[in-house]
Amino acid sequence: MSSLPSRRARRVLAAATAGALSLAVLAGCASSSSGETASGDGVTPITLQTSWIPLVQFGGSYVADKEGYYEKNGVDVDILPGGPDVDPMAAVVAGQADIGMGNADTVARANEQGADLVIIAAGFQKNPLAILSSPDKPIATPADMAGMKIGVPSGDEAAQEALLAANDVDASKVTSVPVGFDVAPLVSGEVDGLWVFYSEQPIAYEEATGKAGTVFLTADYGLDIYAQVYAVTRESLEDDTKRAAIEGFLKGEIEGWQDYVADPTEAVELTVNDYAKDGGLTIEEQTKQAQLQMDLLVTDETKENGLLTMSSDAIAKNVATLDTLGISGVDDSLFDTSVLDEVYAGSNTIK
Amino acid sequence: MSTGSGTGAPAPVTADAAGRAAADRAATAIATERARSRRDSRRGALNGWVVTALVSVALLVLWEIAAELWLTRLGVLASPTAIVQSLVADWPVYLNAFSATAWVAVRGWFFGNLAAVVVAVLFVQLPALESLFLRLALTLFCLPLVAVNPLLQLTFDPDTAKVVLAALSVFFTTLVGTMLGLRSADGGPLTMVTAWGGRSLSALRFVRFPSGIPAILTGLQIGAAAAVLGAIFGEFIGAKAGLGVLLINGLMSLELGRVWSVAVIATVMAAVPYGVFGLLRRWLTPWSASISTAQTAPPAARGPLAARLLKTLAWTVGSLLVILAAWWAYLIVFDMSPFVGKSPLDVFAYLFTSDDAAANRAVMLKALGETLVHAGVGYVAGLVIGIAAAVAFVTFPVVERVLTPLAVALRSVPIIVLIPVLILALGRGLGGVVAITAIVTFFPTLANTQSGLRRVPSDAFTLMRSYDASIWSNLWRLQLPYTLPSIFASARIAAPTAVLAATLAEWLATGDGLGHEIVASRAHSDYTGLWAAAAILTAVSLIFYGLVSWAERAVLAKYSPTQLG
Repeated sequence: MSSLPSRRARRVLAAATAGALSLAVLAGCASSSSGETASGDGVTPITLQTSWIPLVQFGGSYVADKEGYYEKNGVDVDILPGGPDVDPMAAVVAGQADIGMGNADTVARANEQGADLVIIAAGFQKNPLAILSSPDKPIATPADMAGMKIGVPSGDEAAQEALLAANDVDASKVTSVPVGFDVAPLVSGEVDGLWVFYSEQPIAYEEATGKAGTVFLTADYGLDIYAQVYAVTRESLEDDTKRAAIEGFLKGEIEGWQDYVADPTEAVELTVNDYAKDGGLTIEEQTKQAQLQMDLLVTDETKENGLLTMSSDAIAKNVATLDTLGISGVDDSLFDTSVLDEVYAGSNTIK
Repeated sequence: MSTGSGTGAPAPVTADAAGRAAADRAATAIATERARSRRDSRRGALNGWVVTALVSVALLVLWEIAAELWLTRLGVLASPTAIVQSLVADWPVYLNAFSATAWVAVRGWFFGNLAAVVVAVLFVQLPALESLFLRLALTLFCLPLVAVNPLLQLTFDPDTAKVVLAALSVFFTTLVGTMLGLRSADGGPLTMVTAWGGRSLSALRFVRFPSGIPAILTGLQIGAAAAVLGAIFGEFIGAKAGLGVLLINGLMSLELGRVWSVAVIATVMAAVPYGVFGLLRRWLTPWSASISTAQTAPPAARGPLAARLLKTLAWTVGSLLVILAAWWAYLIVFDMSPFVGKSPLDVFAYLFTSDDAAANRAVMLKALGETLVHAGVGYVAGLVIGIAAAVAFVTFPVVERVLTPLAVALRSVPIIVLIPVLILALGRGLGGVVAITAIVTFFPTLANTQSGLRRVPSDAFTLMRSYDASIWSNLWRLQLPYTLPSIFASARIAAPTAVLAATLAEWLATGDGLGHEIVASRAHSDYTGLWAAAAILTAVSLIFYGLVSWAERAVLAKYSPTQLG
């Protein structure tokens, strides 16, 4: 064995190691400087775990953050991006976040497994889960699902069963096909209908095929489940400091969404150019999404009571639906309207 | 060894002239033959490059046409021009995403490899450590990412979680490769160090480490693709920037140009280090042939059968205890919330003692059966295709040059991008799952088998040629037997990978099996179910790995005893 190459090898390796180590040191510096957000005078830090990667779906929160609505109410909110593998409920239970966004059923299921979470406000009054189909073979109501192939993402099987049951459709006549989170199976004709997010995939479908798909909201057919709800631990509501911070957060949050509903332009621009600036989004597509989202945010009830509110009537319907989904131990104690009551203080807008 | 060159035994003065003439003729013949084969290979190489270029262009044109006419409309594949357009139009977006993902991948790759080399040195110096902890390292390799991701998200801050995931993705292959390299040190020099009074540390420094360098470099080479995939997958636990984010947005909005541009960038990110470290290895350590990353099975222990069995049993039980202890320690050290972190006892209760135990077991057993079929069939298919491809590559260099980039791409493209194409082509039944699993097992098999085939001594070929053996006879009687150790080594590494790929396919394509159980339990916050499914899956991978090692030892003992040392 010649010694020259091995010596050269060792020298290069040593240099590489030194270089890599200095990189590691740099990494250490970088992470220490970008760590904890400093809490200023009288401003409480609080963390919001969103349920998906940054999109205009969370536009109201971005407006509240940028316009200083949170700060005005004494909180410094750290908005954490979500993703397919993020469980906001677990993040709240584990203490990584103070407030988690999710659907009423995910909160109820977490409680079924031993968490003690409570929903303090509901962003989407209507669940965005919708059935998308081709206009050439439209599925306009649950009854049309009979005899069709429906793409169901893992985890939504119970929702499909509940939808069919609520509308007296024979489940044995519907073929479920497991899918991921893209519309390709519908575009390629592999399935006739697809469970989608009302304000997202229908846009993609129209872009891809050049024609608007047929869409119906499951919320209009008996699946009354609040979505994009704000969940906290029951414990945190009993702690005065934490409760004050949660109230401050919710006040700022509602103000942000009020701006959004009045004119979503700022929310769209903040999303595309700031909060999701590396996500490759476009103003055009996010504007469409923002408009569709209005159908979920604004209802007759919110016009009367204010955005993000939860009426006792709707809570009762939610409890009933959660029960048909097979989640045990759900009653109206899952929802706590006291924070909303204090924040709105009898009005239906925040000024 | 050829003895005809006449440099050997000194011939007496009264030498047999005819004999010498024969030797000279033989030497001339050999020299001519060598020159001819050099010339042939030069001309062959030139022709080969032309053919390669032509075939590659033809493939690109075919891709373009198929995408334009058919595949883009179906929402599964972008055309090359669409990809280039997207890359050019949105280059700042891709640049930011690239740097975010690359920064995570580079750190994960560095720390994962560093840890692997350190652990490998410890294992080689202190074999008892290896017997106890190698299975723990293997367990880390076998953990299903679908289950690990949410747990990492809850254990570390988002940035660290991504780096840890990328590091985990490279750790095991480098560990095994480095151990093999350190062990491959020549007995001669090792004895010399000992004879001169050197201790085992000197042996490490002067003999083992230098001879381990090629294997370490191979680990760095192969680890790049794994680190990039780990970093992209890590972005699924929440990120503002990165290729994973672009991928999710692209898939959601069905922007195929975006999705496939990400795939191309990921491939380049894996292929460039692959090439660079390959060159570096050849330049730094020209004495080494390309080395398989996979470790050959340890030699069978000697001694009476009962004692051997007892010893094996003791080490197995020991390492199982180590795995359980590590599981518990993870929960305690990171102060996991009991809502998410479930102990071995929780899982035991879930499966055996709780009220629902029987129902839980039934669900898990059914899912396990499905996963075993998916993983098993895909595994065998991947191995067979991998070996066949390696044979074709070595036999027909043109095939190698045209298809190697494709093979590297298949390994580096995030499988989630390929799944829609595969499902479209093969459906969601067994065909689709098998294809997904086979793609993942195919690449390591190809790489290892190929390097094994190349290490067949040329003398053996000369001998076969003197018998006028055909290509096939060469292959069957010479090359494949020589390559058995490499094939088995990659078969062993591929076993857990096949199980992991099957679970991914189950999540995205078939909606059954343990992969689906894991995703569904997570969606329902059923973390005990998630840990139970992950534990079963890991155990299955370990057993699968063990069975292949056992078969390896049995076959090698019969057919190629020298390989067992």
